Amino acid sequence: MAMDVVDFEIFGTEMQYVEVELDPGEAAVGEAGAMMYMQDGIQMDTVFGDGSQQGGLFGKLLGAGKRLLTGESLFTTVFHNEGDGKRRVAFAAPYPGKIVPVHLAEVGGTLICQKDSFLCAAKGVSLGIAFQKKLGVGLFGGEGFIMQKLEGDGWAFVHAGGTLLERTLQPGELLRVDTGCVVAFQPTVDFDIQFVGKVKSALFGGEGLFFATLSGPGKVWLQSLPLSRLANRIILSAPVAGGQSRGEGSLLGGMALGGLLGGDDE
Amino acid sequence: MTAHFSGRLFGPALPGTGMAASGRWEGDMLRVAAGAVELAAPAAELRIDGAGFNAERVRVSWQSADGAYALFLEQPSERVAFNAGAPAPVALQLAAAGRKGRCTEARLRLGWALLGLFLLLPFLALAAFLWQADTVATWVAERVPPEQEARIGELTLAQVRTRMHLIETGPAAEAVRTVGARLTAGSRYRYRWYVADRPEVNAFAAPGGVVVVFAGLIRAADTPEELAGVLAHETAHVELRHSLKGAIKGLGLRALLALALGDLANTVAGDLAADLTEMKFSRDAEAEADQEGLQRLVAAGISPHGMPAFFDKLAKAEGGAAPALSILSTHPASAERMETLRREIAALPARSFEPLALDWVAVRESLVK
Repeated sequence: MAMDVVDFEIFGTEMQYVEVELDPGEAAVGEAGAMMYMQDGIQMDTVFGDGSQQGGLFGKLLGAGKRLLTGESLFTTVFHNEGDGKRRVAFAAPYPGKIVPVHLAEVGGTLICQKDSFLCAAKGVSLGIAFQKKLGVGLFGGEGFIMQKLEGDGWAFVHAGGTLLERTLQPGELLRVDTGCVVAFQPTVDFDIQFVGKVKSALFGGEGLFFATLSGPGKVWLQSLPLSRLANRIILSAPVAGGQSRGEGSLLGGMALGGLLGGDDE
Repeated sequence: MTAHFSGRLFGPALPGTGMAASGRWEGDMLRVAAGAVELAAPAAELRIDGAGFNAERVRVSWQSADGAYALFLEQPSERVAFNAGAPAPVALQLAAAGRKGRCTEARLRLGWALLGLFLLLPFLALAAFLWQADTVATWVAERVPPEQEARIGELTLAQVRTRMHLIETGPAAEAVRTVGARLTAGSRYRYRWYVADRPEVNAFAAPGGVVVVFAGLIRAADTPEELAGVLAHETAHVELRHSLKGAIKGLGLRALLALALGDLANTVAGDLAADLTEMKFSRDAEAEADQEGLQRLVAAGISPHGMPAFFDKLAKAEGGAAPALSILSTHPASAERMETLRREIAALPARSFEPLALDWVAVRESLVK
């Protein structure tokens, strides 16, 4: 499958966005809702599935079903450059963290990543699911049974929360990781779990019952702050933990009763 | 034997993300080339196992002077090519590596199966119970000792006494006791016979041998043989432990429904499901009690013709203005059942029965107020 070759540039430090440059006729796929801006001449098209299936309706349905399993929207958006010069489209990260550019050809054509971490990619990259077959890892590995598999040979961008750690592991090298901090890894990496070792640590250590272990060879990407952890802290320190989301344009959003009486929140 | 196979090579002199490599066998030496790097390793030093995500890939690893190297074979076709030229010990290791992946998969399947089973278990138990309810109830009923049954009977009797007046002396009670004693000669239960002072045409049997006949039924019977028919039928219920089994089924069904449906079991749907199944229980039991009752009548030397005759009378009266025929709601008198009874009686060896020596007119008179 011919991949579109894209050039890109990442802006920002903690809240990043990636700007992708498309030659005439080239295209990029983005996670629905991730687009930040696009230049004139770029056509946006919403497709069922990930836009990489050539098969008929059944293939598309299968691809869309897989996307649903990984927690993504049924649709992806494809951005075509219909103009006659280079045009740019940008995709923004949904929460504080780093955007990780991965050239799939460099890592052997396949990347396994945490579900929900995909941001955008060159058109032609297929977004599949990698089903975790190790029971223990699926239950206690922090990433669940369903992970995402990106296949192709172009650029793909995934998003990591907090600060990013990129490590290449030598053959046999082992890294113990807190569950939930794994963002992506090469499929040659063995992803497993390990009991923390002592019952006392398991109960009072705060690290849970298991570590995730990554053993080499291959490259791994870790995040310092999984979104769930950040969300937990926010909920814990929120004065009203109702979890209501008000749109930015909401008429009463800014001056609801709680806001008026909330004292130093004002 | 110089089939080439491709894979991804990791090692000290290579990029951390590995490099596409091509390898081949040269006798007992494995030769691998990746870019400018050329390596050779003797087959005896190779370690082969399933590795990577889900242990899906085959890893060929070896230790050389400058560090550890690993060659990953990704596609099954590469494995075949690798295997083709490999010396025998390597082929053995490769087969073992394949088993590791299959083992992971088997465990996963087992896990899902167990989870599914756990979720489905109440429903399976319910289905099995509905399917084998009679067997289960019979099995349990056989383990209830007669003393316990007698105690259940006592409890039922105590409840009945609070609701209706029982006639324990007089010609009617005597007649019921006399006929009943003939029908139950040699039984393991200690029977107690009562006549309830109620106008309805009804009779019922509680576990442990408590039989209550309503006064209305005695008045509706034209001959003592008709009474004997009803008594034989009720006796059969006791002997076959129908009410005990019914109670066991009802309890078991409700317990399983509660397990399967949770809170829903207490709602109308749950009641409906339980009632429907209980209804089905009693239909089968009635036919069984007819058969057993018939045999008891014959064994006791009482003419069996009274039995269908009485039920027939009830069935005819059902259509008319006889609101008191409550026996029909618990003892559905279908035409089919009558038909079966008559056929069975016709099939019996012809013999003459002595009429029951009871002053039937006096018995009925004693109940008229």
